[in-house]
Amino acid sequence: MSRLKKWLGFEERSGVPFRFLFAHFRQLVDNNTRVLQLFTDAAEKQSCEYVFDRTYVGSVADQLFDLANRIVYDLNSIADQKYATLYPLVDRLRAEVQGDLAGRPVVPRTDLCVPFGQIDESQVNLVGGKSAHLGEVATRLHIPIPGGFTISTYAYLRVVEENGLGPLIETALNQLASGDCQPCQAICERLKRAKIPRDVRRAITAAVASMKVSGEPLFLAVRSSALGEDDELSFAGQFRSVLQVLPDAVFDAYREVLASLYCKEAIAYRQARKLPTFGLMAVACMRMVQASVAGTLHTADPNHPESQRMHLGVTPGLANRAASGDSRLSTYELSRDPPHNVLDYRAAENPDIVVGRSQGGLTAVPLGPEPHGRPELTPSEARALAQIGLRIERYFKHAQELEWARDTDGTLYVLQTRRLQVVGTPSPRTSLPEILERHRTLMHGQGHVACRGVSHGRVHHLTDPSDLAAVSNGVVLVARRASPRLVSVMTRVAAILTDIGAPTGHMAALAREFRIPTIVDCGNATSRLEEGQEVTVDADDNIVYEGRVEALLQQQLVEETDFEDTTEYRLLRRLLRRVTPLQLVDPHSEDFRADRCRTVHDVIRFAHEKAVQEVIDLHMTGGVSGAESARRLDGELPLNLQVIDIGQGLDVSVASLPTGAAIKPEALRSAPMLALWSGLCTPGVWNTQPVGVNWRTFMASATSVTVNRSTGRNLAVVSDSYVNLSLNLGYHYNMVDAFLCDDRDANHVYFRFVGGASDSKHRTRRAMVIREILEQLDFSARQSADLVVARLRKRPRAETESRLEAIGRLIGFTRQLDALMHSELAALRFVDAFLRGDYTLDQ
Amino acid sequence: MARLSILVVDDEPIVGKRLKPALTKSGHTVDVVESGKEAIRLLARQAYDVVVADIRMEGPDGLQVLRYVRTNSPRTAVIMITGFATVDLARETLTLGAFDFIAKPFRLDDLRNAIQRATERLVGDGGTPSSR
Repeated sequence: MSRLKKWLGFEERSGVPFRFLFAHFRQLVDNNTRVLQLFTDAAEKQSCEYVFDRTYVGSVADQLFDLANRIVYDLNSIADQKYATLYPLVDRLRAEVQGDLAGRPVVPRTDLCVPFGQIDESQVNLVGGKSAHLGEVATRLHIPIPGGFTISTYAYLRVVEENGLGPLIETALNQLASGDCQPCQAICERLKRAKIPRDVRRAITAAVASMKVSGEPLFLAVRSSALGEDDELSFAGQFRSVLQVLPDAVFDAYREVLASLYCKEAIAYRQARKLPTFGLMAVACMRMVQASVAGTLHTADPNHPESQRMHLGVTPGLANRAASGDSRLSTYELSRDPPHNVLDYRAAENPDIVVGRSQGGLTAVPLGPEPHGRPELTPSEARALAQIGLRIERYFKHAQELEWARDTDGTLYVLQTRRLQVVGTPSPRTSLPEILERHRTLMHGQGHVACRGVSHGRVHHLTDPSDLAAVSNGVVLVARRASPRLVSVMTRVAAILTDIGAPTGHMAALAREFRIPTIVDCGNATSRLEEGQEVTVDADDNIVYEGRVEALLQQQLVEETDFEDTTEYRLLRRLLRRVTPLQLVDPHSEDFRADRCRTVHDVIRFAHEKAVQEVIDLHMTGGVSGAESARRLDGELPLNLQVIDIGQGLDVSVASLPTGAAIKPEALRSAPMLALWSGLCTPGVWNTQPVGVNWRTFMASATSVTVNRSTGRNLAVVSDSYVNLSLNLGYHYNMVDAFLCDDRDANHVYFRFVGGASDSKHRTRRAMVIREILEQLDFSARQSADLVVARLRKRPRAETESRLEAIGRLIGFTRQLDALMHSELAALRFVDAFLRGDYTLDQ
Repeated sequence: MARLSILVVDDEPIVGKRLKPALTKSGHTVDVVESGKEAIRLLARQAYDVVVADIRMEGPDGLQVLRYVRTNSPRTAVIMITGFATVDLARETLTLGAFDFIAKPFRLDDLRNAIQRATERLVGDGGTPSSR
């Protein structure tokens, strides 16, 4: 036995037999699928197709974290505890979610100040609603906001601790229940005089210093960003903002904003909305925009959303008057449809405007007679604001209410954005079914809905998946296959349709995160829909209509508005926001690391990728035990293939054979291995005729090829539904790792090819042939010189089986091809020949 | 599908807010109330083809609404929904004359199918959907 092990070159890893490691791998794959399925189920419930309750939301959270823990355990069992840091990460995420569901948000005790460039929605507990939204606007949509940072809710907790306010707050909460607001007032006063802890003070001082530009005076806008503010509830105007603050006065302004958490108005608002706690206050410190003009923007008419109009309120000077309502605003009515023409303008006259003082604070100065009656904005500026508003609306999937300002240099900044409360619209006189009957249906019931919703736009075919820069705003993106790389356009597209893809895949999860109506696996969307064609995608009912179906879009807007306001919906959305966003999209990126995982989705994506890699590496490095069950496969091909059965991969009769006895191909019971074998044995594919080798290139390569050149070490690890095949064919190396069963979500094929006997140009051309063929077979393939890595995931059983069979043929066909790669044209001929079933080598 | 008049009764607002637009999109006329008391008040004033009622509610619960409908408007189909489904509860509601019983969370299509069957029964009984 030890001789056999030595011959196979295997070392046992801590004495753990491979079949145990493989059992962990299978479990991990199963649980990964179950998590994705839960994401899909929960996101589906979020759509208007389901009715659910609070009990359901809690049970989803429990299941998700149990599965995530098991996945981390399985990964670490395979990888020898290499990724143990994932355990505390999952525990932390679980505590945060449970806190959210119980109405007790958990504040990460990490940063005291967070620069806006690093803020996104996942940090909402740390930076509050207003800052989280603005952070998304800046980092995801790249729309200008004034620079700055947010003093976190953790800093607020530090202030509360330092000043011993915890017990007071507890008492105030109890007394508020009996209608006594006095203790709140006391806390408000205490916060106005609160001592700011040294660490918080230092963090703020450093953050302010980093905003200073030499030679320019710095003024700050210090604004509230309470947890929940501008989120599900607006808290509009309930908290304090302090403007034109000098750096030295930032601490006073900070205290004032903190204290407003307990001001009369905010407490009354909380009582009216039946909010169980006082919440937490983060404070945004932004560079003060010295606005020449500022105002508000409603992306829809809140009372008549069907009017297709946007409202701009404009005032000269700073924006504070626009929102507070203590001055008259000039109003612009703009069309929601491009190019957003100005439909109406009404000038307002104000005797004075508000400007910032050089010593800090604000002052009103009289307005001269000149500007009266003259529009404050040019039509192109009004249009630019409309475009900004609609981009934000599309991203947040809801009509928005913005505050904005135009700097003296003409730059338009978004100061704040929140959901616009739309009160509804009268029902159309004609019923919706009758309206829909009048529209031509282009696709109906094809594929699977990955994210529900209704959207409209012009078709854009993504012919080159790497050319995402060419995807313009508001298009219906039609792609051959679903890919998580499309995440970079998800803030701009109206809907996504793909020929290939699974509703439980990563892209589908991303589409739900960004709430892009998406239908995957449509089969022929790329050929059914024409470039530039105007369509309405109804991903509620899986229908694509020709043209714009206004009634459907309108119904969607009102419907969303109504049920999104319910507590159950908010809970589910908050849960999904915490668990489903995927940051780790590219396994080749430097950021694909355990410490970069921020959500459950990141964790399972990372774990799956690493587990596959570990299993492959175990074979590549020979770190596998269990060689005692290796059997030589005695077939017609000169492969010298050893087969290790780790579970029903070989016929039961094999067990009674003497040790070391060979087996026949008829004994194979592994479904993916049988598919590969059938491809390898296809007549004509395993070409044994000698191929003319150029000895000069051969010798050149013989000194540079790095793959293991010894033969006789080919290996297949098999079970009934799994194969890991390592084929060292002289000078090049094929590796296939595949899982094949009836559950399409568990199916995968990973193929790697490297090496060759000829010079690098010939080898690269052969790799190019392999990549081309694999792409034609719907694999996602990457090539670097003579290395090709290809993946196919989540395809139905029959399709996965046929692709494995094709890989078998490809391995045989390309075995001696490098010597024949005289030109690119010759290479392409071999691609065509293979695809039409011609395996002769004299193309 | 025939255009029906439907009353939805559930004390969790999300139910009505989901059901109303969905059933309206199918062409039905839908009223939503959040208590058994309001439901009975409405039922006393007008006839509905279908009543969709949650079982667990404060005050008159879904079963009381069901009894009221069976006594006062026997041709109305009552579909019971609940987040606490048990076989016994399902049996009890069906014994009391409920047309169907659906556990939460459920797909709107499950409800649509139940409504479709209710329509077929209405037509089979020689009745026509009530016009409003």
